[in-house]
Amino acid sequence: MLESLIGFAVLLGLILVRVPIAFAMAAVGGIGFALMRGWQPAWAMTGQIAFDSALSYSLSVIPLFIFMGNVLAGSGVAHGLFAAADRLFGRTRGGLAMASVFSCGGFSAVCGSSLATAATMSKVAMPSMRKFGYDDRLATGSIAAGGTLGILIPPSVILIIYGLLTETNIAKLFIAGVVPGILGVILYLVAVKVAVWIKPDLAPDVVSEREPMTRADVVGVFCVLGLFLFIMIGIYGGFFTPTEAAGMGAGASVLIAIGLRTMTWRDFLTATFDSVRATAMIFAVVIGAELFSNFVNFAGLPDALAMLVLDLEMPVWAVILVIMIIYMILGCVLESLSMVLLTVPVFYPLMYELPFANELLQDPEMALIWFAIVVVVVTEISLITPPVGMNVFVLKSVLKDVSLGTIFKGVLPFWYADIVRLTLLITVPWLSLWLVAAM
Amino acid sequence: MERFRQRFKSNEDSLDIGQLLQNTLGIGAALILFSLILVTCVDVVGRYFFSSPLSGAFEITELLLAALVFAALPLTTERKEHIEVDLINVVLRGPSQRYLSAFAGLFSAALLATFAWRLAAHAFSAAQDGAVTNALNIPLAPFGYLAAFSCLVSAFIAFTRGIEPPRDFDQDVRDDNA
Repeated sequence: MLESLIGFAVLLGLILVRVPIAFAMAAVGGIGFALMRGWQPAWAMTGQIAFDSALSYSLSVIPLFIFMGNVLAGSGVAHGLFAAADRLFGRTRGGLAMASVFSCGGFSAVCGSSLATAATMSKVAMPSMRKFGYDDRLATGSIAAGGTLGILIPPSVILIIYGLLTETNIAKLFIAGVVPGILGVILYLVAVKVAVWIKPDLAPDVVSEREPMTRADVVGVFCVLGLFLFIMIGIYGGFFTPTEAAGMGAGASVLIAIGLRTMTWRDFLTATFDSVRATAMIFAVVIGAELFSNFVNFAGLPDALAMLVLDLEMPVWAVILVIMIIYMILGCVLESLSMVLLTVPVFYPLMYELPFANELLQDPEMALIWFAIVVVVVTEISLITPPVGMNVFVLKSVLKDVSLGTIFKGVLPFWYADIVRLTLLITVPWLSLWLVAAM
Repeated sequence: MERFRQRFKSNEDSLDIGQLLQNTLGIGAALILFSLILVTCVDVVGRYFFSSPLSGAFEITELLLAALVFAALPLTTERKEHIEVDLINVVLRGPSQRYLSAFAGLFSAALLATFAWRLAAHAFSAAQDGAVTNALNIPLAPFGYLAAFSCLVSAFIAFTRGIEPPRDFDQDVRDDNA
């Protein structure tokens, strides 16, 4: 227990002086393990883990889904989504902000990453909102928050990683994310409405003028919808596994890009190179986290934690509350992927072993799935929480003339909506689980 | 140390490491990614339409993934796209920022070099044992050597950055798809 706490402290220290998180985790994990077990086993473990983590069939979905999202982002289907959503909400004050949120949700259905969703939608939605005189706060806030849905609505890189860490079925995790994702869209739409109701100057009066929806836009919407259905029906109809779905989806996205003829060869290469680099980045963190959690497990932290909770006889809600507070604090300084990789191995045994999981949800697997959704939502919140809110940084890097403070202010109504959603999902596990149970 | 700096500095001026890597390992990684997609599609389409799935698709996927990850690692390192937390730069300014950057670079280099060594040792023992995959009997050792080589290249990149930290700190956060 003490060893792991020292390990965590050293790790945080290294991270704070800008050592890449992956390398910091690998070093602390490897050296910690060596100090407890001896150098010989530690050396053997290092090579083994580094090689075997990359040699993983189920993780091959990561480059494939990333590539799919990047190709679709470059193929311009996002513009169609935004134009269609504009048709839906255009007749009300704040309609373009609502359209941004809605189309973010739509793009999340074919993209597994929050940052990519926010980056793509900001290029599409910001110019319109600026043109019609939307306040920068509302405009950037709606995209930064809407983008977070990328990791909740399937496919999702974070849910895949969670599935790997806890040996939970990825298909079940994906389907569990659907209802909370839709709930997120609805609550964000409400947040826009409430924000413009309190401060009417955030958005102009109803915009009657609208850009015409081109044929390419319509085709784009149908491509996104079709691809999402293809993947979902493929997985849940039992036609192929989630891994195969990723490959098929990636192949289909290339066909879509070719069919739409909107993507230049150069854009396509950029999307490809971005995907391979992102893959190496993610796997570096996965390998580092594997080494670190090996050390933490060996030092007995998860067991000690479970014992502690049992000894204290804490009620269920108190345990969950404490875990959520820890996540909120970590979320302020850590980035999403490393936060999940660091914390889930420590906390998930609690879902398994403690009696409350059984009381609450009867089935430990269901408890794990429910916990996955809660973790993802709390991670989404961390993406828009200062000082390290990655989605806010993405918007800042696309829109150089808007200050970080402005975006963080704009995100606030959506942050409240997220807290409401988190509370709902924790108190009503059925929201996440009924689709899983129905499958 | 000073001589080292001079040498690497002139090196960087005459040769764009990023472009070189992109044209070699980058193209390789891109081709591996396309093969990964192709393997799955051929397997699934073959299974349903010609009732002849690709044999060993599972293993090929695994090996391609490992090759992809390690081929791309130097590119990620060169572009400085490994996730870092950028809190300290809010408080620190000037030379101390450069010292920290040097520390982070050398730390990364040392770690990557260690990985290169361990992966090479792992590959060596795999070669000695004649370790092969189950279905297709593909030897594992070459993939281990590739991994070791790529870690070594990455270590070298991180090292040059450690002794010659970039002067201008870009405050932009790149889109990194996580």
